[in-house]
Amino acid sequence: MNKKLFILTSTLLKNSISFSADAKKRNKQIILFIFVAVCFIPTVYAIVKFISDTFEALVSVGEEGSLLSLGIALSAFIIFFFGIFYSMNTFYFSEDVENLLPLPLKPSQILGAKFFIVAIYEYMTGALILLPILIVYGVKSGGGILYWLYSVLVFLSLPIIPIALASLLVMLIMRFTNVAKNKDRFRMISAVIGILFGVGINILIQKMAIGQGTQQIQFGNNSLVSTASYFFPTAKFGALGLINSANLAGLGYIILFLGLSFVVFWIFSLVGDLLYYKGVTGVSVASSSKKKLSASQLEKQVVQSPVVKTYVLKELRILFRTPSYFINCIIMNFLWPVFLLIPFVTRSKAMSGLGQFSDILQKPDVAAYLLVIAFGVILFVSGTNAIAATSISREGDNIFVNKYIPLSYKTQILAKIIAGVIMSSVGMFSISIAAVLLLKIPLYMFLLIIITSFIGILFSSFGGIIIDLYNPKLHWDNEQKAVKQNFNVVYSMLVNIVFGGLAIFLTFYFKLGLLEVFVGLIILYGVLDLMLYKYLMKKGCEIFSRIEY
Amino acid sequence: MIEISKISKSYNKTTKAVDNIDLTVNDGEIFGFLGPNGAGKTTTIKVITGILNADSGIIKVNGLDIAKEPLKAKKQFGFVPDNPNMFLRLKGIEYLNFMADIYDVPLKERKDKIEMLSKRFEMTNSLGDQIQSYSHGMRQKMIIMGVLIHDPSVWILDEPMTGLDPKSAFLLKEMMREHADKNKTVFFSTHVLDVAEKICDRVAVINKGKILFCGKLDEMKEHFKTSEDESLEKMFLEMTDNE
Repeated sequence: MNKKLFILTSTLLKNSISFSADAKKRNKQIILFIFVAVCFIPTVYAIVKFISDTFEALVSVGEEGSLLSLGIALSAFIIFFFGIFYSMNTFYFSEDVENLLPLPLKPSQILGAKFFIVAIYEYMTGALILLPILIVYGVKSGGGILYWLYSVLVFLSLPIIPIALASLLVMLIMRFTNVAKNKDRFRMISAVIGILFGVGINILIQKMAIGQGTQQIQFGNNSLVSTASYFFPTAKFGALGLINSANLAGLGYIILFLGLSFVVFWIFSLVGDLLYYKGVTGVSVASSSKKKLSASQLEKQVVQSPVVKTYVLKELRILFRTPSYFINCIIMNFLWPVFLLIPFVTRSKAMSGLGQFSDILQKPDVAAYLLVIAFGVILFVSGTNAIAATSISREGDNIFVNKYIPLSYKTQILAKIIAGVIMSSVGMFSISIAAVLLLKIPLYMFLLIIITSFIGILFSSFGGIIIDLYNPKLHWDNEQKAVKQNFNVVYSMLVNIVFGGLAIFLTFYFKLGLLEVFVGLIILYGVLDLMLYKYLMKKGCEIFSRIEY
Repeated sequence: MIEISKISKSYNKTTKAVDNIDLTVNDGEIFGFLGPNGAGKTTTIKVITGILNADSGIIKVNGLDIAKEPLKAKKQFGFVPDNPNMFLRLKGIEYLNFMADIYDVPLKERKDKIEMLSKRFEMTNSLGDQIQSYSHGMRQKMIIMGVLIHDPSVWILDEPMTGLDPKSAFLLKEMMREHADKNKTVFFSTHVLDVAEKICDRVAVINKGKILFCGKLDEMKEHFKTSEDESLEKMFLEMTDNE
């Protein structure tokens, strides 16, 4: 059984993490990757600086251990949250499932192999949060060899419990929604339920943490550790194992930590054997009504529209109807206000806090900052929906259709941009309307935000599609790879962060006024938009015509 | 009419998938493009349709150069790819509307066409469903309908019979004949020799990127001086086996 599991895992791995076979392309990818990594160095530096400052502060109150347990618990939670997406995608919606099901494998073997794939993605998440904490703590506290050994063990086994929990949740949801006839729609509903669950748990934890936090101030004891570990009890053992790495108790905690992880994984396998096949079989079978369209229905549905409109509609229909695209590109635009509001909602005296905050926002001297920050946030959101930055990649092996239809590349690029701009505008409106309703920002500010952000959205869409044109990811076997495992999205987000950050930095540095910020944003990004547009219409079309699958 | 002169196309600048090909497909004929797997059939078709850019050579569809006037040239032909798995998330009717809009088909005409084609291909009950829910053959039929809706004068079909049930295959062959009889052009690739033998006016045999033969089937038999009763299959095997 273990041999099969190993073979399956390594095959799936090779299949899912692949560099281009073309050496020249591969080098290009590696260089770009290094470039992005270099770009992240300042961020990493800032994270490390923040952690070591926190460490110093905690040492003074003798609570430095809570840094570890907070870090571990936080990582576990984030891994759990992403785990919902990852496990749903890899266990149920990835296209290899159909090829695996006929093989003589137990559900737990397929699940086990896929579990490792998810774990590898999650290590990347963990590397960003937990790794710096482990390293800073180890260096600052002068950890011995056992500390580093335990660190590696904790880092490697930490994702097991959160992923297993996320997968169990997903398996339950899928088991009971799979009875539905319209699979696509129910996949989307399942995804929304999953996300809402994640958001709900987030709110719950924050509420608990705040409740305990006040107690902790009253009693001044070590309860911060237990609070942070409340949701993932094993996080506490991991942290205690590391803190006590110098003595025997540490070993005990680590064994407990590993043992619990193993037990949870074992339960996951058992439940998987029971639930997985029932949820996954037929998941990719699309339903058909086989109903004849009546003459009047046909009359209504046969319509003529301008080419650009038809093409934009085609793009949007595919975005809304393909579960992976819907989750990654569409829902995000509606979810941002929810994410932004969580901190306010969870505070017990939420409304008064909100009131104070909105009082500050009313002051004329913060207006310029408010505008530029809103601009930056919306620019960022526009990048995260990834519609423009994957608009060529999403075509996949069907890119040949774009080539033989008698529709100019100019029109196709424009239509793809319009689809992206529409959805980003939805994100823009959902955020700014939430700001008007909850933060009570004045109406004129709402208008200024809309005007400048729209120009920003154009910028991010033009930039996104240019990036995607240069290096489209066309070879994928499931749609998720086109949008989620696509570096073009990272590049495009990076560009947006840099440009949005620059605008914010300049405003704060030169203490610009509202009018200056407003006019400045319009002129700066207006000119950028114009340049990128011209570039797209000339060079972009040339590149498009040269793309070959 | 399709005129191909001195077309070459290589991948990775080393392997020539298509090597200096000349071909002319006349109006009023059904032209079969034969060859074993990997011979260069699909690459040739991709170059003709503008999906791939040729390294050298000229391609004209109804006298229009695909490299110089791509949009006009592309409007001349309808193309059925070998893989019908496209636009899977669109409903059949949405796909037909999409194609009709791209090729500027007027409303009245497209209504009549959709009605007529869905009846002929027995797809009336599936127009409202997503193409994803179709079987392979139904997808193939839908793609063919999307091509016929704009009534192109040149048909280019890559392995069009694959996956079609006997009735639909018969229907398609019949329609190809009707189209050629209207003095229009049908160019299709196949490795099913029976099909070629039955309906083609002329054929070309391609192997390893080179045209080995181009002409009528009788001429092919003549050309290789084989006995009367030797099957096309045997000729084909001998021809393509030769190093």
